[in-house]
Amino acid sequence: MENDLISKKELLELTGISYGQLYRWKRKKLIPEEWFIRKSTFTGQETFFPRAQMLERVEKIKNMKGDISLDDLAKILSPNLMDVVLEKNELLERNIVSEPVLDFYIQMHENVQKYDFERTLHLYLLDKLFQSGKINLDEGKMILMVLEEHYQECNGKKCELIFLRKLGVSTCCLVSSSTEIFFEDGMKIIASVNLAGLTEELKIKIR
Amino acid sequence: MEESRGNLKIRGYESSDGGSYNKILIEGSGNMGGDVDCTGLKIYGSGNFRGNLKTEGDINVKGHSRIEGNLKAKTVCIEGYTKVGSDMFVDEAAVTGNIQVDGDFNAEIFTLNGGFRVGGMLNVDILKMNLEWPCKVHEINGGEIEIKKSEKPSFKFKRLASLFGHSASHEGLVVDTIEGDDIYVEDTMAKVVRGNNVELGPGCKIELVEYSKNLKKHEKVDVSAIKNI
Repeated sequence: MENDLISKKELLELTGISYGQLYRWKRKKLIPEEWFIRKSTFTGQETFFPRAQMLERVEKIKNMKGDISLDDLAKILSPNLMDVVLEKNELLERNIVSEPVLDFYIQMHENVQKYDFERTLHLYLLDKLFQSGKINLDEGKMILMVLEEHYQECNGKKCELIFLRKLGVSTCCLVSSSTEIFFEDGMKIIASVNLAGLTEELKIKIR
Repeated sequence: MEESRGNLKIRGYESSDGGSYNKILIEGSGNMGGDVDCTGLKIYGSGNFRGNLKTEGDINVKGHSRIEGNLKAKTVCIEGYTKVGSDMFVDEAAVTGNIQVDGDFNAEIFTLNGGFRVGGMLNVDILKMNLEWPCKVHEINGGEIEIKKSEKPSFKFKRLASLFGHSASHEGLVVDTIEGDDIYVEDTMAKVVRGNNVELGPGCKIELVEYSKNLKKHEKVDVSAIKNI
């Protein structure tokens, strides 16, 4: 494990870059924040980096920074994860969706092979709700319909999916998070999912 | 993204929705719900932002501002007090007064006369501070770091108080780690100060100093360990 990491001190020495440069590149998102690994050492908290990836990245930045702006460089180095398209088997391998839920989806959508970010998010959400045991299959279909019809309109805004039940009848809706809704007592909120938080979770799984 | 709504002027006491605006001017007390995106912001008085605040331009505050989410701007100029609930990303920040950022504070240039408190990391290329009262942050990382104690009444009063047996907790900056290329600090209590060129001014209490090129140490400095790396 130790061989996979490089200390900040060693990194600066090997690459010849300065603290200022390192932290400017961090601010500009040229180096992902997750690569800054904090560990307790004899002298206190020290920062380490994944050795191979970090050395490669620093060389890339040193070579390219003369020709293009740091902001443009950031776009090249950190591709938009929302453009990623996954294959069916990848969804299962990466533990994004469980097999029964994926089969359920395929029953309604024929055999889709390629899953773009939006589809993957729908599946991820559905999987979570099914696994929680809070919803049944028909209710899952309803949630999927709401997402497919209205998710686009919510995209970019803070949104929540709320699933409700009253006296055995269920419904669901997509609500913009800055709104507050107050229901009468008979209406029970079964599940409430923050889509922005879920999107960030999914991005981490896809990476 | 919604189309820009044009300029927004708040006079007196008013609340407004979040959204996309051209220039925002608050004279009095303004309350903005939701995320705000604008081309520039001026506050004379008090501005309260419930969500994130983003501008491609400049923010000028004379008075008080509070942003519950993130703050992103090109330049920020504050006379008074500002609190940011999440992270702050600016090119240039100039503060006279007090600034509190609960998340990370990121800037290319940050000059301060007064005080600050940062919950996360202070990540600045060029940092120049004159501290008038005790300040706290876990980590400072950057290029040129200069932290001085201001010779203003508040400090003198505390020194008088301590003469009479009232000892204040450490007066200047309290920090875990400072790392940078060129560092000058006064009145700073730190676990680690690490850099290429390090100069420790009077009043410093450092557990470990690591320097690679130069180290200068004022006589009124308490250092437990020094390493040339």
